[in-house]
Amino acid sequence: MDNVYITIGLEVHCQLSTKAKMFCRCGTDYIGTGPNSFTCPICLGLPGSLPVLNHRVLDLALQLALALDCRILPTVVFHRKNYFYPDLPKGYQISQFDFPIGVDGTIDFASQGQRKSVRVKRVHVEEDAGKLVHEGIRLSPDHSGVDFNRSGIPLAEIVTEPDIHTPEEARECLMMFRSLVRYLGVSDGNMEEGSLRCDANVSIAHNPGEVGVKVEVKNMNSFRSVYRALSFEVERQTKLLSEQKPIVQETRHWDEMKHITIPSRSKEEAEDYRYFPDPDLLPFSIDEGSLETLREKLPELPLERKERFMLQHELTENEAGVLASSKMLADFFEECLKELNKPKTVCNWIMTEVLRNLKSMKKGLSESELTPKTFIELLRMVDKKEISGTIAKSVLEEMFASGMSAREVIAKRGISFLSNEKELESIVLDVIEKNPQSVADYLGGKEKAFHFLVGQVMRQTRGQASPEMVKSVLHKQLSAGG
Amino acid sequence: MGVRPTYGRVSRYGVVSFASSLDQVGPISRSVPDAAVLTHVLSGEDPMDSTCAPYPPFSNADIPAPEETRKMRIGIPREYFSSGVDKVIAGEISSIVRRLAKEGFDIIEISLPHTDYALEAYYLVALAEASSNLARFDGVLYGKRAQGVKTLIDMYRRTRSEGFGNEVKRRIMLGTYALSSGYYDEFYLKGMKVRTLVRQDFEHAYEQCDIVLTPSSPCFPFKLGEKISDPYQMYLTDVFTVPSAMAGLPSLSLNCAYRKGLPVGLQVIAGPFREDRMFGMSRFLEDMLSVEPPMPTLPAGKENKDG
Repeated sequence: MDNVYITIGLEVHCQLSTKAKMFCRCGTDYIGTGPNSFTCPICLGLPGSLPVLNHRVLDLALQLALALDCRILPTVVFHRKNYFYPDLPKGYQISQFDFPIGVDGTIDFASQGQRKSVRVKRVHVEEDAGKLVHEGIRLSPDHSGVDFNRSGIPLAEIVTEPDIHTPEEARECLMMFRSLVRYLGVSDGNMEEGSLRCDANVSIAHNPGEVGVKVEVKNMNSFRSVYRALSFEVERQTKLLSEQKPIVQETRHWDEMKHITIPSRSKEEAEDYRYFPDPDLLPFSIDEGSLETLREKLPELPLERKERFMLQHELTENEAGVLASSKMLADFFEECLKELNKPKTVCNWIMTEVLRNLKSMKKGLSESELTPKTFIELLRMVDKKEISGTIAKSVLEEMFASGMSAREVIAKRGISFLSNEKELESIVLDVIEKNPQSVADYLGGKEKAFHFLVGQVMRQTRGQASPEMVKSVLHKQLSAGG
Repeated sequence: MGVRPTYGRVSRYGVVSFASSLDQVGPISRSVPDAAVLTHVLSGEDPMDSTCAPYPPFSNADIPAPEETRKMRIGIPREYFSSGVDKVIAGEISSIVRRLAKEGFDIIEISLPHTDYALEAYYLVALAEASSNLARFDGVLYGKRAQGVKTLIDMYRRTRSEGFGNEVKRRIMLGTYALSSGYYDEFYLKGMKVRTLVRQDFEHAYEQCDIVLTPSSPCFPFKLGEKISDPYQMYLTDVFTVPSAMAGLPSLSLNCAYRKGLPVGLQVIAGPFREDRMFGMSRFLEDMLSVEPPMPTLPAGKENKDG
């Protein structure tokens, strides 16, 4: 098979984190409530109701557009996108058409150590529709229900240019996007819960620069499924191309169970959304002043932060990437450094122990009780060799579970830590005395014997001594004795 | 008489939208003072309607007294007296204008050059908006739903076929067409451009005068259902009230005379948010003309036998 060149463009929707919906005062925190419990005449589209813009939506969307380095249009115009569907109560969606919030931006991310840049065509805002419910409704098996809780929730839609060339890049680009919206606090970016949704256009061709037949892939509900669906689609199209069979321009759905894409039921006629400016909403001017304020308030963005971590703290690309991917984690890391300026040590502990504990508890850092202060207290004890790393790990575990400080955990467990070199010395001397053969072996050059002696000391201290300290004391006594 | 206040004067919240950029709530009343009182009650800012102007309600206290009213310069647009206007109507309005001149008013002939295009533009814009506004009557959440339907498309089709009358269907079809891809620029967009020109016509006019008087209609009222088979002729009767609606201006129509039992309408159009002038002028006219509506003649034989 010849090489094929893959071209991918993404269309990403993310739910903007506002307290109220986009055009009414209904709340947005409906998860876990009954259907249609967060609705009003406006988001139900009842006759006589009118939309009034929640300006917070513009603020969040502008922050996002600025962070994507978009050109901000001076006027925001809302258009009606007209189509019939039961989840769309007004018969049109309030969206944007030829005057989006921002155009011509970029999204930068790292892919295999290289900085990649994907152009962003546009960023616009629109209202979400309701949701069809096919199961568990009390009417009858041949009816579907509609839940309008989601109706009117603000969304930002981001359309990229087709600058992505592998499924992995698509995944990385999307992950950077999620990281970005979380840094900005404009969206919680949760793919599984649907607050971040991604569709992709995929085409393949024999020559670079040539764009083949575009296939749209929908229903990818996780980063992994984006990667899998696009990989499947590339493989499917490559096979068609090599067999010289036609690739059909169509929309395909990713089937999460079967791991294949299947064609969506095609509409018989082409959609005509009959866009026109919504006469219920006046155009809004974006004034330079408030734009400048938003621009100044933009936080350091994930990629910049990662690169700074690599330079300033001499972290590896992977380390810096993991820490900077989440603003919470990166902030935590830097807070810790203020207390204990040992970036490598702090980084290692976060990357391994902190993340492992969070993962096993299925919690985010913000939901745990660990603070930079309590965490560093623990690391200091290790640093001063007051406790061993092994103990510190189990102490940390309990700190996560109970919310206690390191000292509280230690006091509660009643572990007396052998922080005193004199105490340790007596144990070491005892071990030396009881194991003359091993001492002789060690002095005869058998490195293994040393490890055995360390193990004996550790056993006697019941693991409560720091191995470093044991090793150094043992060394000292052995060389003194020898 | 009927009043259409300035677009944005009265909240549209709670009003079933027909053409959102043109719809405006106004009173129909027996006298100008009644209409003014109702306008006062109806008007004012509403945070539930983005298109409602952030102005305090119109106040009756702002209506100028007759001696103040007399200082207003009256603009008479020549396009409203063209050959298409019923001669009796044009004659009535002209004689009223002559009386006003005698009362000491400044009468200024003005031109509203885009009047002829306003009607077509109005129907493009209004019906486009209506086609979208009426989409919510789909049988899903609100109102009638056709019974015994099998599929979603069937439900939409039958609910809307059964629920809407012929004129509404015609308007939805025309409006949908005007917004369709490939026709948008030619129809809806052009309609909006004409609307801007019509508004500019009035802006220029109000540099020369304070109030504009026109006939309300080019013809006498037609019988119910008389023009139903010729919608264009029917729409044509709106030709004089549509331009002020397109410009969003406050206007009032009052009966200034009766001929063969049918009223002749006189339209008083003021600048944006100048309801004070509109009511001042209208009250002056009402007092000057003191028109008594004729009593209807009841057909013989229908009287109460006991009476």
